Amino acid sequence: MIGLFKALAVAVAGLALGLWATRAALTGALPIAVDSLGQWRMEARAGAADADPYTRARIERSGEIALGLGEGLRLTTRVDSQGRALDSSCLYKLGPQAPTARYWTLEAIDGAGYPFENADGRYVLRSTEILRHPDGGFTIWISEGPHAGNWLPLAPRVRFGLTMRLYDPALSDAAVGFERATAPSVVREHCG
Amino acid sequence: MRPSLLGRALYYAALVAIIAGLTHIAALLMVPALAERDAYARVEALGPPFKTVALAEASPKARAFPYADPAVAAAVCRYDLSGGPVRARAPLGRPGFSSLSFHSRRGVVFYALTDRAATDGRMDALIVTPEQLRKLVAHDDEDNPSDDLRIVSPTIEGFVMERVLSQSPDDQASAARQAAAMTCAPEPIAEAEK
Repeated sequence: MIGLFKALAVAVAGLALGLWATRAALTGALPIAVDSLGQWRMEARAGAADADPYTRARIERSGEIALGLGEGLRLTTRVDSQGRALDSSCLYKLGPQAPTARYWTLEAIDGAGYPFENADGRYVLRSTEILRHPDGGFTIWISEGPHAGNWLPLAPRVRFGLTMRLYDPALSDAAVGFERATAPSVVREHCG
Repeated sequence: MRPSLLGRALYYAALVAIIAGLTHIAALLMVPALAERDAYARVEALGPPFKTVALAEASPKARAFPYADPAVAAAVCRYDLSGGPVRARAPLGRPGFSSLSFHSRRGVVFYALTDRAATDGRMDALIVTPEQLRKLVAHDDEDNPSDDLRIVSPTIEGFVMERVLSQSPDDQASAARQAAAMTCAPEPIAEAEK
Protein backbone atom coordinates (compact mmCIF):
# COMPACT_ATOMS: atom_id res chain seq x y z
CA MET A 1 0.00 0.00 0.00
CA ILE A 2 2.76 2.40 1.01
CA GLY A 3 4.80 1.20 -1.99
CA LEU A 4 1.94 2.03 -4.36
CA PHE A 5 1.55 5.47 -2.80
CA LYS A 6 5.27 6.14 -3.18
CA ALA A 7 5.26 5.01 -6.83
CA LEU A 8 2.29 7.29 -7.54
CA ALA A 9 3.97 10.26 -5.82
CA VAL A 10 7.15 9.71 -7.84
CA ALA A 11 5.18 9.46 -11.11
CA VAL A 12 3.19 12.63 -10.43
CA ALA A 13 6.28 14.58 -9.36
CA GLY A 14 8.17 13.40 -12.48
CA LEU A 15 5.32 14.31 -14.82
CA ALA A 16 4.89 17.75 -13.26
CA LEU A 17 8.60 18.49 -13.41
CA GLY A 18 8.85 17.31 -17.02
CA LEU A 19 5.88 19.41 -18.16
CA TRP A 20 7.16 22.43 -16.27
CA ALA A 21 10.60 22.11 -17.91
CA THR A 22 8.97 21.86 -21.35
CA ARG A 23 6.85 24.92 -20.76
CA ALA A 24 9.81 26.88 -19.41
CA ALA A 25 11.96 25.91 -22.39
CA LEU A 26 9.26 26.94 -24.87
CA THR A 27 8.38 30.26 -23.26
CA GLY A 28 12.03 31.22 -23.01
CA ALA A 29 12.20 31.09 -19.22
CA LEU A 30 14.85 28.38 -19.53
CA PRO A 31 17.34 29.43 -22.22
CA ILE A 32 17.76 26.02 -23.87
CA ALA A 33 19.03 25.99 -27.47
CA VAL A 34 19.20 29.79 -27.60
CA ASP A 35 22.30 31.62 -28.78
CA SER A 36 23.18 34.84 -27.11
CA LEU A 37 24.96 37.90 -28.36
CA GLY A 38 25.75 40.21 -25.47
CA GLN A 39 22.39 40.73 -23.77
CA TRP A 40 20.50 39.66 -26.90
CA ARG A 41 19.08 36.24 -27.62
CA MET A 42 18.78 34.82 -31.07
CA GLU A 43 17.78 31.60 -32.71
CA ALA A 44 20.17 31.52 -35.61
CA ARG A 45 18.79 28.19 -36.82
CA ALA A 46 15.13 29.23 -36.47
CA GLY A 47 14.69 29.36 -40.19
CA ALA A 48 16.76 26.32 -41.00
CA ALA A 49 15.51 22.89 -41.98
CA ASP A 50 17.77 21.31 -39.36
CA ALA A 51 16.59 23.43 -36.43
CA ASP A 52 16.71 21.63 -33.09
CA PRO A 53 13.47 20.30 -31.51
CA TYR A 54 13.33 23.17 -29.00
CA THR A 55 13.53 25.85 -31.67
CA ARG A 56 11.04 23.97 -33.85
CA ALA A 57 8.56 23.58 -31.01
CA ARG A 58 8.88 27.24 -30.02
CA ILE A 59 8.19 28.39 -33.58
CA GLU A 60 5.29 25.97 -34.11
CA ARG A 61 3.73 27.03 -30.86
CA SER A 62 3.96 30.78 -31.49
CA GLY A 63 2.79 30.75 -35.12
CA GLU A 64 5.71 32.95 -36.12
CA ILE A 65 6.81 32.91 -39.75
CA ALA A 66 10.53 32.64 -39.07
CA LEU A 67 13.17 34.42 -41.10
CA GLY A 68 15.15 32.04 -43.31
CA LEU A 69 18.86 31.61 -42.71
CA GLY A 70 19.68 33.47 -45.93
CA GLU A 71 17.23 36.32 -45.27
CA GLY A 72 17.90 37.65 -41.83
CA LEU A 73 18.16 37.14 -38.10
CA ARG A 74 16.02 38.28 -35.23
CA LEU A 75 17.69 39.35 -31.97
CA THR A 76 15.50 39.87 -28.93
CA THR A 77 16.15 41.14 -25.43
CA ARG A 78 13.83 41.75 -22.49
CA VAL A 79 16.52 43.07 -20.14
CA ASP A 80 18.93 46.00 -20.01
CA SER A 81 22.73 45.81 -19.90
CA GLN A 82 22.59 44.98 -16.19
CA GLY A 83 19.98 42.25 -16.52
CA ARG A 84 17.03 44.28 -15.22
CA ALA A 85 13.63 43.88 -16.96
CA LEU A 86 12.85 46.63 -19.48
CA ASP A 87 10.19 49.00 -18.12
CA SER A 88 8.59 51.83 -20.08
CA SER A 89 8.75 54.22 -17.12
CA CYS A 90 12.52 54.40 -17.71
CA LEU A 91 14.64 56.04 -20.39
CA TYR A 92 16.98 53.72 -22.28
CA LYS A 93 19.90 54.45 -24.57
CA LEU A 94 20.71 51.92 -27.31
CA GLY A 95 23.90 51.95 -29.33
CA PRO A 96 26.49 52.63 -30.54
CA GLN A 97 26.56 49.99 -33.32
CA ALA A 98 24.75 47.04 -34.80
CA PRO A 99 26.09 43.74 -36.16
CA THR A 100 27.04 43.94 -39.83
CA ALA A 101 23.96 43.71 -42.01
CA ARG A 102 22.62 45.45 -45.10
CA TYR A 103 19.64 46.82 -43.17
CA TRP A 104 18.27 46.49 -39.67
CA THR A 105 15.12 47.53 -37.82
CA LEU A 106 14.40 48.03 -34.12
CA GLU A 107 10.99 47.50 -32.52
CA ALA A 108 9.51 47.45 -29.00
CA ILE A 109 7.34 44.37 -28.48
CA ASP A 110 4.96 42.94 -25.89
CA GLY A 111 5.24 39.48 -24.34
CA ALA A 112 3.57 37.81 -27.34
CA GLY A 113 5.77 39.50 -29.96
CA TYR A 114 3.42 42.25 -31.17
CA PRO A 115 4.05 46.01 -31.09
CA PHE A 116 2.42 48.20 -28.42
CA GLU A 117 -0.08 50.93 -29.14
CA ASN A 118 1.69 54.26 -28.56
CA ALA A 119 0.77 57.91 -28.83
CA ASP A 120 3.01 58.42 -31.85
CA GLY A 121 1.65 55.44 -33.84
CA ARG A 122 5.23 54.52 -34.72
CA TYR A 123 6.34 50.98 -33.93
CA VAL A 124 9.70 50.61 -35.58
CA LEU A 125 12.94 52.42 -36.43
CA ARG A 126 14.83 51.50 -39.61
CA SER A 127 18.58 51.74 -40.14
CA THR A 128 17.75 53.95 -43.14
CA GLU A 129 15.93 56.62 -41.11
CA ILE A 130 18.24 57.24 -38.14
CA LEU A 131 20.74 60.02 -37.58
CA ARG A 132 24.32 58.85 -37.19
CA HIS A 133 27.42 60.20 -35.46
CA PRO A 134 30.31 61.27 -37.69
CA ASP A 135 32.07 57.94 -36.90
CA GLY A 136 29.10 55.94 -38.18
CA GLY A 137 27.84 55.00 -34.71
CA PHE A 138 24.36 55.89 -33.49
CA THR A 139 22.31 56.45 -30.35
CA ILE A 140 18.64 55.51 -30.10
CA TRP A 141 16.57 56.81 -27.19
CA ILE A 142 13.80 54.53 -26.02
CA SER A 143 11.17 56.10 -23.77
CA GLU A 144 7.47 56.79 -23.41
CA GLY A 145 7.87 60.58 -23.73
CA PRO A 146 9.38 62.26 -26.82
CA HIS A 147 13.16 62.53 -26.94
CA ALA A 148 15.45 64.53 -29.21
CA GLY A 149 17.46 62.55 -31.77
CA ASN A 150 16.56 58.99 -32.72
CA TRP A 151 13.51 58.13 -30.63
CA LEU A 152 11.65 54.82 -30.34
CA PRO A 153 8.32 55.50 -28.58
CA LEU A 154 6.94 53.19 -25.87
CA ALA A 155 3.48 52.59 -24.40
CA PRO A 156 2.94 53.89 -20.85
CA ARG A 157 3.66 51.63 -17.85
CA VAL A 158 4.51 48.32 -19.49
CA ARG A 159 7.22 45.70 -19.38
CA PHE A 160 8.53 45.39 -22.93
CA GLY A 161 11.05 43.64 -25.10
CA LEU A 162 13.24 44.94 -27.89
CA THR A 163 13.71 43.11 -31.13
CA MET A 164 16.32 43.93 -33.71
CA ARG A 165 16.09 42.30 -37.12
CA LEU A 166 19.16 42.07 -39.31
CA TYR A 167 18.40 41.77 -43.02
CA ASP A 168 21.08 40.28 -45.24
CA PRO A 169 23.45 39.88 -42.29
CA ALA A 170 27.08 39.10 -42.99
CA LEU A 171 26.72 35.37 -43.54
CA SER A 172 30.04 34.44 -42.03
CA ASP A 173 28.77 36.02 -38.83
CA ALA A 174 25.59 33.98 -38.87
CA ALA A 175 27.58 30.82 -39.43
CA VAL A 176 30.55 31.46 -37.18
CA GLY A 177 28.94 33.61 -34.52
CA PHE A 178 28.84 37.37 -34.18
CA GLU A 179 31.48 39.25 -32.32
CA ARG A 180 30.12 40.20 -28.93
CA ALA A 181 31.38 43.73 -29.35
CA THR A 182 29.06 44.42 -32.27
CA ALA A 183 25.89 43.86 -30.24
CA PRO A 184 24.25 47.15 -29.27
CA SER A 185 23.91 47.67 -25.53
CA VAL A 186 20.68 48.82 -23.88
CA VAL A 187 21.63 51.12 -21.02
CA ARG A 188 19.08 52.39 -18.48
CA GLU A 189 19.57 56.12 -17.99
CA HIS A 190 16.95 56.95 -15.34
CA CYS A 191 13.44 55.99 -14.25
CA GLY A 192 10.32 57.75 -13.03
CA MET B 1 21.27 -3.62 6.01
CA ARG B 2 18.67 -0.91 5.62
CA PRO B 3 19.64 1.81 3.12
CA SER B 4 20.33 5.17 4.73
CA LEU B 5 17.79 8.01 4.57
CA LEU B 6 20.05 9.89 2.14
CA GLY B 7 20.36 6.83 -0.07
CA ARG B 8 16.60 6.47 -0.27
CA ALA B 9 16.12 10.19 -1.00
CA LEU B 10 18.65 9.97 -3.85
CA TYR B 11 16.90 6.88 -5.18
CA TYR B 12 13.52 8.66 -5.35
CA ALA B 13 15.08 11.83 -6.76
CA ALA B 14 16.66 9.77 -9.54
CA LEU B 15 13.30 8.11 -10.31
CA VAL B 16 11.58 11.53 -10.47
CA ALA B 17 14.35 12.86 -12.72
CA ILE B 18 14.04 9.93 -15.13
CA ILE B 19 10.24 10.30 -15.38
CA ALA B 20 10.62 14.08 -15.76
CA GLY B 21 13.16 13.62 -18.56
CA LEU B 22 10.94 11.18 -20.45
CA THR B 23 7.90 13.44 -20.01
CA HIS B 24 9.89 16.44 -21.22
CA ILE B 25 11.13 14.69 -24.37
CA ALA B 26 7.67 13.28 -25.18
CA ALA B 27 5.95 16.65 -24.62
CA LEU B 28 8.56 18.51 -26.68
CA LEU B 29 8.22 16.16 -29.63
CA MET B 30 4.43 16.31 -29.44
CA VAL B 31 4.24 20.11 -29.63
CA PRO B 32 4.61 20.39 -33.43
CA ALA B 33 1.89 17.73 -33.92
CA LEU B 34 -0.45 19.38 -31.43
CA ALA B 35 0.12 23.01 -32.39
CA GLU B 36 -3.07 23.81 -34.32
CA ARG B 37 -2.32 27.45 -34.85
CA ASP B 38 1.10 27.09 -36.44
CA ALA B 39 2.18 29.41 -39.21
CA TYR B 40 0.88 27.13 -41.97
CA ALA B 41 -2.57 26.88 -40.39
CA ARG B 42 -2.70 30.67 -40.11
CA VAL B 43 -1.70 31.08 -43.75
CA GLU B 44 -4.21 28.40 -44.78
CA ALA B 45 -7.00 30.39 -43.15
CA LEU B 46 -6.24 33.36 -45.42
CA GLY B 47 -7.24 31.86 -48.74
CA PRO B 48 -7.07 29.06 -51.31
CA PRO B 49 -3.81 27.76 -52.85
CA PHE B 50 -2.14 29.78 -55.63
CA LYS B 51 -3.75 33.01 -54.42
CA THR B 52 -1.42 35.81 -53.31
CA VAL B 53 -2.57 37.30 -50.01
CA ALA B 54 -1.03 40.49 -48.65
CA LEU B 55 -0.48 40.21 -44.89
CA ALA B 56 -1.76 43.03 -42.73
CA GLU B 57 1.02 45.38 -41.63
CA ALA B 58 2.20 44.31 -38.16
CA SER B 59 0.52 46.56 -35.59
CA PRO B 60 -1.04 46.25 -32.14
CA LYS B 61 -4.36 45.40 -33.86
CA ALA B 62 -3.10 42.94 -36.48
CA ARG B 63 -2.34 40.00 -34.20
CA ALA B 64 -2.10 37.15 -36.69
CA PHE B 65 1.65 36.57 -36.94
CA PRO B 66 3.85 37.30 -33.90
CA TYR B 67 7.32 38.81 -34.30
CA ALA B 68 6.42 40.22 -37.72
CA ASP B 69 8.31 43.39 -38.62
CA PRO B 70 6.12 46.53 -38.96
CA ALA B 71 8.71 47.88 -41.41
CA VAL B 72 8.15 44.95 -43.76
CA ALA B 73 5.35 44.52 -46.27
CA ALA B 74 4.65 40.83 -46.78
CA ALA B 75 2.55 38.59 -48.98
CA VAL B 76 2.06 34.83 -48.94
CA CYS B 77 1.01 32.34 -51.58
CA ARG B 78 0.11 28.77 -50.65
CA TYR B 79 1.14 26.01 -53.04
CA ASP B 80 0.21 22.40 -53.68
CA LEU B 81 2.56 20.26 -55.76
CA SER B 82 0.10 17.42 -56.39
CA GLY B 83 -0.76 18.91 -59.80
CA GLY B 84 2.86 19.51 -60.87
CA PRO B 85 5.69 21.93 -60.12
CA VAL B 86 4.86 25.47 -58.99
CA ARG B 87 6.52 28.62 -60.28
CA ALA B 88 7.08 31.40 -57.71
CA ARG B 89 7.85 34.78 -59.18
CA ALA B 90 8.41 38.17 -57.57
CA PRO B 91 9.19 41.24 -59.68
CA LEU B 92 11.49 43.73 -57.94
CA GLY B 93 10.90 47.18 -59.45
CA ARG B 94 12.39 49.11 -56.51
CA PRO B 95 15.72 49.26 -54.71
CA GLY B 96 16.27 47.88 -51.23
CA PHE B 97 15.82 44.58 -49.45
CA SER B 98 13.26 42.02 -50.48
CA SER B 99 13.28 38.26 -50.08
CA LEU B 100 11.40 35.11 -50.99
CA SER B 101 11.23 32.30 -48.47
CA PHE B 102 9.82 28.82 -48.93
CA HIS B 103 8.02 27.20 -46.02
CA SER B 104 7.03 23.57 -45.74
CA ARG B 105 3.76 22.27 -44.31
CA ARG B 106 5.59 21.81 -41.01
CA GLY B 107 6.75 25.40 -40.73
CA VAL B 108 10.35 24.78 -41.77
CA VAL B 109 11.98 27.37 -44.01
CA PHE B 110 13.61 25.09 -46.54
CA TYR B 111 14.96 27.80 -48.81
CA ALA B 112 15.27 31.58 -48.93
CA LEU B 113 16.71 34.01 -51.40
CA THR B 114 16.98 37.78 -51.45
CA ASP B 115 16.86 40.47 -54.13
CA ARG B 116 20.62 40.02 -54.47
CA ALA B 117 19.96 36.65 -56.10
CA ALA B 118 17.46 38.15 -58.55
CA THR B 119 17.86 37.68 -62.30
CA ASP B 120 16.21 39.83 -64.99
CA GLY B 121 14.70 42.10 -62.35
CA ARG B 122 12.84 39.39 -60.50
CA MET B 123 13.20 36.61 -58.00
CA ASP B 124 12.14 33.41 -59.66
CA ALA B 125 12.10 29.76 -58.61
CA LEU B 126 10.42 26.48 -59.47
CA ILE B 127 9.16 24.47 -56.50
CA VAL B 128 9.23 20.72 -57.12
CA THR B 129 8.93 17.35 -55.42
CA PRO B 130 11.95 15.01 -55.63
CA GLU B 131 9.96 12.94 -58.15
CA GLN B 132 9.22 15.98 -60.35
CA LEU B 133 12.85 17.04 -60.19
CA ARG B 134 13.93 13.65 -61.56
CA LYS B 135 11.44 14.02 -64.41
CA LEU B 136 12.62 17.56 -65.20
CA VAL B 137 16.26 16.54 -65.21
CA ALA B 138 15.45 13.62 -67.52
CA HIS B 139 13.89 16.10 -69.97
CA ASP B 140 16.80 18.53 -69.77
CA ASP B 141 18.95 19.06 -72.83
CA GLU B 142 22.42 17.95 -71.80
CA ASP B 143 24.16 20.42 -74.11
CA ASN B 144 22.06 23.30 -72.90
CA PRO B 145 21.27 22.69 -69.23
CA SER B 146 18.46 24.62 -67.60
CA ASP B 147 19.47 27.66 -65.54
CA ASP B 148 16.17 27.52 -63.65
CA LEU B 149 16.40 27.67 -59.85
CA ARG B 150 14.68 24.42 -58.80
CA ILE B 151 13.85 24.01 -55.16
CA VAL B 152 12.79 20.66 -53.73
CA SER B 153 9.97 21.02 -51.22
CA PRO B 154 10.04 18.51 -48.35
CA THR B 155 6.21 18.47 -48.30
CA ILE B 156 3.55 18.47 -51.05
CA GLU B 157 1.95 21.58 -49.58
CA GLY B 158 3.62 24.70 -48.29
CA PHE B 159 3.75 28.41 -48.86
CA VAL B 160 5.95 31.09 -50.37
CA MET B 161 6.41 34.40 -48.59
CA GLU B 162 7.76 37.62 -49.96
CA ARG B 163 9.11 40.23 -47.58
CA VAL B 164 9.78 43.78 -48.76
CA LEU B 165 11.52 46.15 -46.38
CA SER B 166 10.40 49.79 -46.59
CA GLN B 167 13.03 52.49 -46.22
CA SER B 168 10.76 54.90 -44.30
CA PRO B 169 7.09 55.07 -43.20
CA ASP B 170 6.24 56.88 -46.47
CA ASP B 171 7.78 54.00 -48.42
CA GLN B 172 5.45 51.37 -46.93
CA ALA B 173 2.79 51.66 -49.66
CA SER B 174 5.36 51.12 -52.41
CA ALA B 175 6.78 48.12 -50.55
CA ALA B 176 3.27 46.69 -50.18
CA ARG B 177 2.68 47.04 -53.94
CA GLN B 178 5.82 45.06 -54.68
CA ALA B 179 4.89 42.33 -52.18
CA ALA B 180 1.39 42.00 -53.68
CA ALA B 181 2.90 41.48 -57.15
CA MET B 182 4.39 38.12 -56.11
CA THR B 183 2.71 35.10 -57.72
CA CYS B 184 2.81 31.33 -57.42
CA ALA B 185 1.17 29.17 -60.07
CA PRO B 186 1.31 25.55 -61.27
CA GLU B 187 3.64 24.95 -64.19
CA PRO B 188 3.07 21.44 -65.59
CA ILE B 189 6.12 19.57 -66.89
CA ALA B 190 6.10 19.71 -70.69
CA GLU B 191 5.45 16.26 -72.20
CA ALA B 192 8.51 14.72 -73.73
CA GLU B 193 8.47 14.71 -77.53
CA LYS B 194 7.43 11.37 -78.89
